[in-house]
Amino acid sequence: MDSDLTYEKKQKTSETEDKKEKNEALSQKKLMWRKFKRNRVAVLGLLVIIFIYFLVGFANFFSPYPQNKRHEYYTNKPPHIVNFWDENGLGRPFIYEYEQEYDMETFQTTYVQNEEKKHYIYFFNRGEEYNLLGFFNTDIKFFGLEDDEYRIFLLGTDRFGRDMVSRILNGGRISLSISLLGVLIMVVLGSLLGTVSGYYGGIIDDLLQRVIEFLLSFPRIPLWMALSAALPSDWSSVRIYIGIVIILGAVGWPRLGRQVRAIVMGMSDDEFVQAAKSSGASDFYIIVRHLIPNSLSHIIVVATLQVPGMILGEASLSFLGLGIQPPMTSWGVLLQEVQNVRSLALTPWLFLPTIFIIISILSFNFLGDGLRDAADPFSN
Amino acid sequence: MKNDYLIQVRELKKYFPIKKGLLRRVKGYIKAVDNISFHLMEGETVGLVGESGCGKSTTGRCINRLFKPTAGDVLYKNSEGEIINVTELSRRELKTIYKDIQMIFQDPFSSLDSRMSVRDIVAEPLKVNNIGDRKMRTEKVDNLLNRVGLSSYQMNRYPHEFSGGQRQRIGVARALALNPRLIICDEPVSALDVSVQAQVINLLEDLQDEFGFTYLFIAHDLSVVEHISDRVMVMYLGKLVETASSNLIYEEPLHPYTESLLGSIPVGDPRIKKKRKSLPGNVPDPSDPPSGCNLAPRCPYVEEKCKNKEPKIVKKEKDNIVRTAACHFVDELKLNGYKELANDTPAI
Amino acid sequence: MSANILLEVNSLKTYFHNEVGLVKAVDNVSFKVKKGETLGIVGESGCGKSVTSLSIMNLVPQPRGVIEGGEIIYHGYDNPLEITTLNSQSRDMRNIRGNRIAMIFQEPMTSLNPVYTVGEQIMESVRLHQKRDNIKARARAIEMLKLVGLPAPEQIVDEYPHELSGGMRQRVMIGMALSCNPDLLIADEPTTALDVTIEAQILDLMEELQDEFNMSIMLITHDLEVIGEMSERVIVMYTGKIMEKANIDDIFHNSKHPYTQGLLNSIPQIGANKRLIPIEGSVPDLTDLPSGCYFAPRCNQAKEICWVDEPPEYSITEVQKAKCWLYDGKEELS
Repeated sequence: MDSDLTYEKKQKTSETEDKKEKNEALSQKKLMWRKFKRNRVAVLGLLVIIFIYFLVGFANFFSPYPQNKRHEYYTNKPPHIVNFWDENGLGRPFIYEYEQEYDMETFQTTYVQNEEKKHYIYFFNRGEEYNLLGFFNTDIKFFGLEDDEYRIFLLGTDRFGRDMVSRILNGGRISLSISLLGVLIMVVLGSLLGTVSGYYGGIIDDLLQRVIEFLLSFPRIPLWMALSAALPSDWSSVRIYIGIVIILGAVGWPRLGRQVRAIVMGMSDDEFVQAAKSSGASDFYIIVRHLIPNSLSHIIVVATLQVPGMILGEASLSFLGLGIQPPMTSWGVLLQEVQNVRSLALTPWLFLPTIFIIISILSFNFLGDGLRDAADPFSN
Repeated sequence: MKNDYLIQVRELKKYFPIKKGLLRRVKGYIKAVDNISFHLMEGETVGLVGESGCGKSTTGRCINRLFKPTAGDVLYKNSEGEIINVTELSRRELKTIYKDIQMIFQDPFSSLDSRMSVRDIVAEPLKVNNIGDRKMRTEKVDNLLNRVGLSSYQMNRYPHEFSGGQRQRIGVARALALNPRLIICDEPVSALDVSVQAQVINLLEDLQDEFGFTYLFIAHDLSVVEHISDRVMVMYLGKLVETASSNLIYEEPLHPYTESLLGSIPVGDPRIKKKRKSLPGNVPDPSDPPSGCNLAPRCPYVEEKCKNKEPKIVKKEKDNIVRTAACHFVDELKLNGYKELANDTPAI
Repeated sequence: MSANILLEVNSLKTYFHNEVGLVKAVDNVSFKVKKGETLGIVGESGCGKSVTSLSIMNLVPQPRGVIEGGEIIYHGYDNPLEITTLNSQSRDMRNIRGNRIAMIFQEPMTSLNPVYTVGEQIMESVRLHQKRDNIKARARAIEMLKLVGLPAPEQIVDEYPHELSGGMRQRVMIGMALSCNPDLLIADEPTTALDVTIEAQILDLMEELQDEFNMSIMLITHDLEVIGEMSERVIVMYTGKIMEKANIDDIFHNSKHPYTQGLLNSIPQIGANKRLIPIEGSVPDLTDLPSGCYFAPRCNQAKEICWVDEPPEYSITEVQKAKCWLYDGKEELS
């Protein structure tokens, strides 16, 4: 009797255990995600990055005017201030017209809001036709003014009267895509060569290590400069863009290659690799199925933390006039255009691209740190 | 037990080069396995014991060619009766051998890829050898998991969700996937808890009864080896010092090293008060082994001859059972077996 | 309190607040260490034996680990001292740690600092606790190395840990632990990483030194055979709780708790060619323990009550206690 009861009880608990176990089939990926989610700052970084990429991805939609359109009557305008409240309370947002006033003593132009001239902002209204993501043409813009008598410049204009919102968003598209593509090239080169170097060892390893040491012994910025100065000056801006991507990726891979090599070397002695070998797996199978997936989390972390470097790289090159060439715009190009003290004093809003650079770099760093902690889900 | 050789190892050597300096010149060799010969009969369990660094794992890995031997032959007789020299096979030809010789590893944590599900881990040997389609492989994994005492539903789970013993069962299932004839067990239980260790030992014994595997059981734990093996080989510093049937080696060892190993086994039971009899000193550096007999610097029975001349392997035959020992004084020494050592000093 | 007690642990509770939840690594554990004896603590991974020793050393990893309750009383001074009330880094605690209670670990390589010579590390511990000058400390270091049986101690004192073999490093660790004449040596798996012949050497050495220094040893290991060789009294732990306490002879010949019996049946005995009887299942996850007795799911003698209520500790004889419902009716201790 007694033992029967025990038996039943045992059966029961083992059944409930089974049920629970089934629900808990957690892969390492899920564990990493769970750990990542706990890191608030990293999640914030991720959200900001998604938001920024969304903005610059649909730059044509979010910017009210084409980036290179010169609004001749509106040069060096400060940003408009959006108002929500008028005499009727909360309503449709609107801006006031600016009026220029010359101070005859200092010869400075100041802008004053003329509270009588109100312009309402409309959403999803029609503007100039543009091509959305290369798929179809449309003229629907996210926001704009209904009438054509006045223009809206939420972040001001430059000396040619070009809208800074449009230029920053379009420039961000170039800056952020260059850094992603550069990192992609870096990841492909670094993980491939690193894995080969670590797995095969011997002469291949020695050779690759010397190459890596050679590349790492150059200071970065002069190397970038030398390489981009070597790009032919008659290239179109698209070709230069591709050239810059390749330069950034090629200069960046050795560091990653080294790290991947170390990880792979450590793993090659692991018994699961030996088990695969002893059942007849080819080197290719082992590299693709075991070594790369197991170093992937490290690769992703390193890659994420390298994006800021790439953004800065592009900005530095363009700032020095060696990177992206106008009419293409990037954040570096925008900063190059305000390379003087006068702009800082008179048109400080033209430095707004710096804020965007800082925010995206910080976000990538936060995200990278979060990923690094999550990459090892079993550590505490 | 069928009276047929499965593996014959002849004068096997595995030297690892020591590279030093800027140009990575070879400055010497670690003689991990130095001229050993032995055989495995079909269906038997042979224990290979020795201290860490004695070359026992290297020996196992030379047989399934995870390492390429420096010299010597590993002759394998396949199921058709052909004799194949494993050391001479090219990488492509080796595939046929891999199916017959599988391995169980020591560390249940590093031996399973933490990114693969149990299904993929166990099916891996089938996949890399292009056996069956996905459905058939899943069925096979299902059978194997049940056979080693796990449930089918656990197939989609990941290694980190299992305990050490369960992970070792997964490792066993993987080794069984190709229906091997020889399984090299490299310290399969030494990383497990005591209570779980016994489960895995019993599982290995049951599987042998069912499928007639041959085991090469590599371990440092003498009581486990004695329990599971038919024959035992003792290794010291890259050489086989003694081989004999499991009973004989524990009852009447012929080599002083074997005696000292037996004397070192801790015995908890206070009623079997045993004299601890340990070897003095440490295992010498395998890149610079002593001249003469390897054991000479530590041997309690050492004589002048031992320091100069390497002992030959002496074969002894008793009731048709062959045993060997590599000692100059096999016939002169009267060594104590485990029982005698255990009763050396009477209980107080 | 009788005079021959050195250390008293009462209802010790050391919990870890992990991400996955609360882990009761040591849960209501009480025992005493007598002067000059060797107390063995045996158990499988996750049984709380190492956390017990860290609690005694007041070295529970912060901030996850917390001593939630109980007391650890050191009787080596004139007045009893409660260790759990001391701050981990306080002067009093540092005086006890190393000086009065010393510890050696499983892997001697990780507990020795690779950038200092062996001599410097022993000297530091001597200088810290005994205020000797350099020359005297060095002499003491050489003396200790000689004492632990290292050949050519004058030479080894200037060597780095990586130049020594595993067994020699463990000897250095023991020398370092004993350099200040502690009353209690906690040895946490001291021989697990060593080969069997070296293990025998180290066990011999520990026994010799115990007589010489007249100290108590707390030997913590998973290996019942090693425990049996060294200690007089044994504590068997499982999932943070003490399952059985007994003299070594009773453990081997008259064990009361099904877990102890199961452990004994799991160990292969040389010469006895019988099939092993393992304990079924595996050690439960400490964050997800069964109700009732934690051993019940693996126990072959479990009764209905075992699945519902945790058993108290029953007193079988003066020294033998078992935490098992099988002994319901005997005198209850907790």
